[in-house]
Amino acid sequence: MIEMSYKISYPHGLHARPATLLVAKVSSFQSQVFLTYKGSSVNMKSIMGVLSLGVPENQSFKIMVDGVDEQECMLAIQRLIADINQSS
Amino acid sequence: MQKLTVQEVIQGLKLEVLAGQGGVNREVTNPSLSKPGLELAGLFDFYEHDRIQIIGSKEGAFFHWLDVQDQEIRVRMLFEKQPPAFVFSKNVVVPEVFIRFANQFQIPVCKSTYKTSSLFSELFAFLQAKLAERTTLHGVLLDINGVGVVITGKSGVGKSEVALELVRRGYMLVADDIVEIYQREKGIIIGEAPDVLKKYLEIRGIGIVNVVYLYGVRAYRENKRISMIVNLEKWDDAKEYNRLGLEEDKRIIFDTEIVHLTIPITEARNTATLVEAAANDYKSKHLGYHSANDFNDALNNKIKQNAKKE
Repeated sequence: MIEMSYKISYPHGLHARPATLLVAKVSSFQSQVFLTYKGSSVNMKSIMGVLSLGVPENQSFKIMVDGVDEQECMLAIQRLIADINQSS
Repeated sequence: MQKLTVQEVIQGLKLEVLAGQGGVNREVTNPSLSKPGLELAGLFDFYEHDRIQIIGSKEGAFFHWLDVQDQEIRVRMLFEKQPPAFVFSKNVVVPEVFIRFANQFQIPVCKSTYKTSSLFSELFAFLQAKLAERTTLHGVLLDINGVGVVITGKSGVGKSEVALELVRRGYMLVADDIVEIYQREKGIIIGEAPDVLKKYLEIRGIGIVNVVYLYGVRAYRENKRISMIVNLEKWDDAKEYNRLGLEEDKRIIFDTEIVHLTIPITEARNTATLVEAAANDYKSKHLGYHSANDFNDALNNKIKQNAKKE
């Protein structure tokens, strides 16, 4: 199991578009992925779950990956978040 | 622990604030209530001053038995311990001394439109709902003929699609994907959708749909007591599934037992119909008819009869 903290600097935070990208990315892995913000944890393969958190920009949230491909999965998340933050 | 202010209680129960408006931002942390009858009688050893104080008809009537000096002293002692608020029930006339101390201590004194016992139960349910510990379940909560069913299963197993079919058949959606749950009291688990997701359902290939717009107001329900959890999973040849339904699996959430079923799905099985059948079977058991037990009894009788004939 690996755990890391991230921030989204994308304007308006983790709204529909960046959330969709992230959910699509983690869904391609076998590992279980959870996103925790302000004490609520959601399954990160679920778009509704991620959207329900309403994570604003520049606020930190935690991602926890657990499973056979956790290393690759976390790396992919890291890259994607960096991409998203750069495109802002 | 969740936070709640007196102001939210006032709005939630539509209370009228008579005095002590300055204290409406006081925090309510204890979901229980207190009726300070003993305290008015002069015994303060058991005063539960961290709770909202209810003055019902009994306390209100007893108050007038006291002489003016005792009224003054005891009410002052009630206020000095700084309870979050005082709420008077419908038929109690609020004595002047409460108003005076309310303003002096800045503790709200409110009046309800409910009679004492209804006020007590309404306020208790409200506080439980707001202050109870919450957690989330990953699944879809539906009301199927009055039975609250949470459909769980891995992402992509088709939970939302089953929910859509059930909504189309006339049942109600409560929450898709994230079900916020709390225990109202032991044995009663209530589920609802997080605010942003209320009324919405996500269907792969279509997107996010609002069931109220597509199927009308009857398709949605704000919250629902959860009676059973149905877990959907791909058919696994190596696994034994419940064939007769004589035993029941339970899952414990907070300290409440909830019936837990695992239903294997394949292309040939209509999943919505299975979930509907599970809910109806639950209801039938609740009404006193247990199909599997009934079948089993008939079978045992038959075996006995055959044994006699030998």
